[in-house]
Amino acid sequence: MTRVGITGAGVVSSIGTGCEEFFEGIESGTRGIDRIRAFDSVAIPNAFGAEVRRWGKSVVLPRGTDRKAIFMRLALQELYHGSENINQYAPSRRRLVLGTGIDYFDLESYIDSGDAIGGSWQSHIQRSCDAVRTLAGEFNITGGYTVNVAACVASSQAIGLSYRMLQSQPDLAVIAGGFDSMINNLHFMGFHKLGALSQWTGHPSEACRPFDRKRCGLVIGEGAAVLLLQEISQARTENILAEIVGYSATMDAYQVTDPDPKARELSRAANEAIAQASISPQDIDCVHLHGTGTVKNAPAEAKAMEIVFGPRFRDIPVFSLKGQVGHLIGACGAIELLAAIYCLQMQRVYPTINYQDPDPEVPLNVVRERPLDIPIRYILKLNSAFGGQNTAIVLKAYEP
Amino acid sequence: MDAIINSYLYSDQIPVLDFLPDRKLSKYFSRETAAAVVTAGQLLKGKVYDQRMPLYYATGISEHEDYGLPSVVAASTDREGIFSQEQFSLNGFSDVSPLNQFRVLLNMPICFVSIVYRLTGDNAVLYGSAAGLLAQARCAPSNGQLLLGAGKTYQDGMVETGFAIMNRTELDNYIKDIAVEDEPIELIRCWSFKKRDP
Repeated sequence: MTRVGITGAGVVSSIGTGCEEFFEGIESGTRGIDRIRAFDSVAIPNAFGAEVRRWGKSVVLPRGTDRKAIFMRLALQELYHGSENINQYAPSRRRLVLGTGIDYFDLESYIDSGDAIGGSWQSHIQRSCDAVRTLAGEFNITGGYTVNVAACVASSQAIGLSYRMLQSQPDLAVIAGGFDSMINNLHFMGFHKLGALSQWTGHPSEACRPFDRKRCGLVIGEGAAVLLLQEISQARTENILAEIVGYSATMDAYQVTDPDPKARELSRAANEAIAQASISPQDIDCVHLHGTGTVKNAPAEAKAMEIVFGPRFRDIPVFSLKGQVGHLIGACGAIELLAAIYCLQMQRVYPTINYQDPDPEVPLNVVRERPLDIPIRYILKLNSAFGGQNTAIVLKAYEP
Repeated sequence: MDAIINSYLYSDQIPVLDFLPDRKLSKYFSRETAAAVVTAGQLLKGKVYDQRMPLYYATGISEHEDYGLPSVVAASTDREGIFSQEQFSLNGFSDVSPLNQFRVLLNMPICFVSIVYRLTGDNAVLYGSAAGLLAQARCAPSNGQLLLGAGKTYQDGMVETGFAIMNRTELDNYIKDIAVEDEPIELIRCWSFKKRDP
């Protein structure tokens, strides 16, 4: 197997723009969820969101702006600025593999321009695939680009594909990650109508409660995260943040609205990724779960943990970032993998924000209140999508 | 290798109910999803296949919407024909069906194909170009059969979906003469022609 190292990163999120601020946000338990300010949400019930912030304030962009494309540009700028490794690759050996969500549609300009009268909506849509092609051009990536739109596993599938690409083409530099924002009228409305959003009646920052007994739905987040993946012998040792040593994707084939409560395929994805890493479940030191804060996600993940880890499933520390940054949908896997890298580097499992009241139906060791310092060599990262897609990635601390 | 491509005009009834174990599922379907379920069903019929075979689907640029945009617009426009946030929040919100999200999300065709045909293997949903679908397929973790699909909705409301089943060797053989910037459906079209005239 080709060893694949992560040697650079860029991130834009509600708890920090740039890796330094993002990591500081994890360290200090910053809460990125508040009432939505990016559009007028006064009349919308429970309009909670984790909006990208800069200098502590929500980023408000001009009407008609595709927020997610701007966030990805900023993340790529950070990656390029901070990584010497990318420049050792000719543009033709660079690839861009990104996950993202639904195309942005500017409802306001569609109506105000008069185009709505004739139904000419095409010029008011900003397509994610066009954004990725444009970004590939701007960042001098001519080796190809791929856009994954598998909803909540889009970016973890993008990272998984990148890992596989390097197995067969180790001379590539693959920039992998995700970008998304559903914090606009139409997309927010879609999730609201699905009944998926948090019904929390308290302070907005407490609205996303992964694994908590009072969990009551997800909170939409936004942002972007990118990672530079290289074959490890081509990377500068001091720049290697972590290794990816296993990846698997499965489908529940169960129900479109709910995860399989028996977690058969989620657990299979985990077991396959662990097997690919040539380790056993006993070698996994902590698990970063999908942890959406919805009622049905938590017991399904607990069941998967039980299948994979046996009696140890109650003891192994677990974490979810979504209490802080919300659900980034097409970018959640990438930003959460970056959080996992930080945990690996710090040898620390961070508390899951808003986890206060344990649920007997979810008997997991969710770290709370203060970080847990333990030796961490391997982290298992799980994600699942609305519709039944699952991914598992095994991350390893770099050892020369 | 086998490949099938189906086209349905906007006025056509897509015969998806013939393929569903539970007819209620169809309420979630966009026309692309319905066509994908039919086309995959036709391709898989009578074949022995591993339910864990990799399944990759690529959706094309959608040129037609049937998600209820006109009703949202009508409910969100004030008397002067300008967007009204207040109207949107009060009326535009309530006029939208919860089922719309199932028609908007781009992973729905593959998810419903997996549910209907019990496919649980490696998977991905790509967007925009044939290159992504090919890149994904070439990295499949299995040397056995692959199921590749693609869809496209045209400006006049016509929807087209195609599926191909092949092994890795066939994929490598058939890969050479594809313009990777083409829409993904063109890949399946090319393979369906090759099936007729190898």
